[in-house]
Amino acid sequence: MKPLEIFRVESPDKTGAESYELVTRDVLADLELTTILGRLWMYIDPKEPVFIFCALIRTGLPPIRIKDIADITTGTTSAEGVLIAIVNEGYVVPLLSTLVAEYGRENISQPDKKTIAIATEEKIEVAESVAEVIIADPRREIASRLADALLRITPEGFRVRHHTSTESEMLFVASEDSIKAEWIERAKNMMKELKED
Amino acid sequence: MLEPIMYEGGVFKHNLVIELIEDLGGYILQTNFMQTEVMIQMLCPHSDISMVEDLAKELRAKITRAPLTGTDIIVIAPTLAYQHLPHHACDVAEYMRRHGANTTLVGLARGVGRRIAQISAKERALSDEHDLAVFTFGNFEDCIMNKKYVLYKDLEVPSIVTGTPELEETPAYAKAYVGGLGRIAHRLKGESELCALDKLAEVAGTILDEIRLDISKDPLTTHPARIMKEIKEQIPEIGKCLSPAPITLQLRGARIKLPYSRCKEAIENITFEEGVKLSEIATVLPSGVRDYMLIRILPKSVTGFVI
Repeated sequence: MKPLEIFRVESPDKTGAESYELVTRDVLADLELTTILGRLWMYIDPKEPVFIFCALIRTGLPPIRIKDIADITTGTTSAEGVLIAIVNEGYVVPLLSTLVAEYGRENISQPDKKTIAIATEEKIEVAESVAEVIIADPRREIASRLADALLRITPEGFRVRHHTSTESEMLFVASEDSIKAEWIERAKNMMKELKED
Repeated sequence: MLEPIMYEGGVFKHNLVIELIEDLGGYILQTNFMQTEVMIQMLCPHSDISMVEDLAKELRAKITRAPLTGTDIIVIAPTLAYQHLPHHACDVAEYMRRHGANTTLVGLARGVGRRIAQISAKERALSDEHDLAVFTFGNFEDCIMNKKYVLYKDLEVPSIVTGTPELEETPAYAKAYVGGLGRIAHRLKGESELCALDKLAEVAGTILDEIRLDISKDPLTTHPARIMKEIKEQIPEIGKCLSPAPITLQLRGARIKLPYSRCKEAIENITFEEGVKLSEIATVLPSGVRDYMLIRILPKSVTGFVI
């Protein structure tokens, strides 16, 4: 699935739909979601009033482990502890907070900008286990960004919301009044059609 | 009659313009310096504009008529949420400011939605303190035409509505409608967006000119700019006010950014060289904005004279 290979915004009000497409594109670009969504279909009818958002999410982003962003060594034989040499500085903050939570603040030191040391006597075991620790999960971050995008795109007055989401799809219905079963049915059909396309 | 004009040019010798305006009996409303450039908003007697134009030509500066000068416009967004701010409502407010208006930007507490949209009495009173209200609405024709009018139908000041669709007729209760300015999530810099903003400024200017004409049928006892001048001369406290525009001129008076509770009497006791006190020609009211005060100048039909 290519990024945004299907982008459909439908509404009985043609000008409104065109304008909404522009708003959606801006919001997705602001939140860097353009490459995350594969297919998107929105339907807005202000007279009902209902807002339906169906999207297929492009999956395949693995969680980031410490071994992905740093080289782990046990240092010299005389040194006490495990040394983590950071390669990708983008994840230093979550890395430090994870290590502090795991091994305690008093056991973590940062001798220089790109090195973090864990003071331990069981160097080999710690070096092995620390490599697999997950420090960031892009999928979880995407889910929160996607929720943010939805809140920004949805008309503000539509505060009654229904949503179902999995790792690969997102279905969202919002309205000013109680959600009708037929709207959810319509959203499900849209999702089904989106998958078949 | 005083014409609102704007002078844009270099700082060099700009004081000659200020002196000329004062000699002609006009008023300087605001002077903004931008490094080596200066922008002066002023009111000049209609018959003497050519003299100012000649001087501006000599100084290689530009004189433009700015009908929004000396007016107080309120820009109202349905709420202060991401859907309406910053790009749409703020850009509208900023554009009006560039044309000389003093703008206030507010978001309503419960202005969103269709069935649920409402405006409170306090918000309505606040809007009525201004000369003109601009409502920035969204994308759908049905909402603008059939639902959102509840927000402005009871306002006493004229309302301009903006939205995305180009409508053939103005929505009910609104004075004017400007299309192409609906919900936008980027900065307004496209050609069509800037054209829409220009149109909005033009429409606002026309409506304000109509109000000016209306006022001239029963003229105010004195011009608001005269009150501004007297306050600056007689109330030293205004110099300590940190607001960018301590005295905001309006078509029928002014908003003074001094505490009503403390300064009301001092303002009322301002005397004009003709021998009248301000309390005789205007009423001083508390403003809905903080503890500021609002001056409403009485018309000739009430006081019986013009100074």
